[in-house]
Amino acid sequence: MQKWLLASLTLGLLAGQAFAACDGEGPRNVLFNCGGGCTIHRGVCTGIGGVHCNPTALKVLCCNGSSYTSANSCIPTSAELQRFQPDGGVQPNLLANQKSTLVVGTCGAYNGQFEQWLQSHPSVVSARAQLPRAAQ
Amino acid sequence: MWIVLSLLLGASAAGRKAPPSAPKVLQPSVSRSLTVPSFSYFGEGQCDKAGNLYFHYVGAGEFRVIHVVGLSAAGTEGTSFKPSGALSDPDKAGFESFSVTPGGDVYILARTRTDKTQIFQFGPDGIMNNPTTLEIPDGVFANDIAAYDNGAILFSGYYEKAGPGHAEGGSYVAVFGPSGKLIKEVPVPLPNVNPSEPTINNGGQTLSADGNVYFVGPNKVFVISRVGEVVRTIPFEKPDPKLVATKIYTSREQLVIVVNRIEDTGAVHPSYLALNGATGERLGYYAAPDEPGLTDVCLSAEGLTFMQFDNGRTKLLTAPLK
Repeated sequence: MQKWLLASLTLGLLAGQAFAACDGEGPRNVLFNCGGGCTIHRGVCTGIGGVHCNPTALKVLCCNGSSYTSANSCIPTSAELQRFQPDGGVQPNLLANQKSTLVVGTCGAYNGQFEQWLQSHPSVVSARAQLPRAAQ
Repeated sequence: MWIVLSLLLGASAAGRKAPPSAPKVLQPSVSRSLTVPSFSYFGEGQCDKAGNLYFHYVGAGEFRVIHVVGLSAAGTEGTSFKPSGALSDPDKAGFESFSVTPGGDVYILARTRTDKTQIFQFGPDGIMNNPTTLEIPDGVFANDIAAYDNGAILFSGYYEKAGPGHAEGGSYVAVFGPSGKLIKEVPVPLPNVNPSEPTINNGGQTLSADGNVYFVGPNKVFVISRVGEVVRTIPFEKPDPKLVATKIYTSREQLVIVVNRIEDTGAVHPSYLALNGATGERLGYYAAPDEPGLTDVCLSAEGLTFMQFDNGRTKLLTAPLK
């Protein structure tokens, strides 16, 4: 998977840059943030001076992955980074000293339906495996 | 004068580069709609020999969260492959890569907070065995893994920094036994990775029915046994040297290499190079069927299968390679 991670990019994204809702159009980029005190080396977050890094996917750029490179300036902000918003929305800002990277991902709707389906359609063996041993 | 003109025209023609050959657009012959709602996943899907599909599920959005989802080939059942307890905390063990065997065992590569590289192995039922730690040298970062059917692992990565016997970005490929012990470092000559260059690396690996892992480099496929021997190499020529080979499928005597055109914007456009696995002869060069949002997931005797999300549902299309 790491082969998909693009290397050592120090990025920023313009405030308010919007992306349309995730509509399952196919492979798109996923933006990651490594957090302060970290570097990204070929997509791997590496701590500096013992810092533990917490790479967090910020957002799947569902509908236009190319938009990311058109915004190549970094906007310093003290605002907390927004969490991943798979269904689109406004791209969060990045802190000036933070680094991000990209992976290729594929988008589908994010409305909880898949999780519900997964819970209600367990495979026969895995459903049996989750039962107490005496009940099997 | 005609001679001079002919010579000039000949020189002009020789100086021109032949345009890269265009891939033939595949035509799906089978289309199946599953009842599975659409979902998001990181990277590429994989499949086992029964046609069950596996994905690194996006879920709450953190790449590091270890959660692989398996969907039955018919799309009627799903299985979660994820650790429980403390290991489910991505701060303690973060996802790096995964591999599915033809029999449906799932191997997940994780990096722990203490910088150990571990393998979490799950049976087809989603039950996890005890993690094993790979004896990876310090300073090596993971690229990909492939699991052999005896539980050995082919690991590929690169050195973050220069050191004795290796350059910065130098490749590291090795086979580890089921216990995580190094069996053999594999001499796969790959170009060094340039950490400052934002690019997608060549390299992809898969277990073949012959029991060997097929590892694709920029212009060669390395067939690697479970004891780390390069059994043979299969040279190939990309239709365009700029294409990046990132994935390989094997089915019977056929190899399909996924080669990608990468735009400056970061957009990735895959195409498919089919080779005779025995001779390396090119059998065809293909593009995905002309439908939106297709991603390749499986190669079988019927052809290449693509997945598509259509109106919130999952659809599979299989196209023969012809």
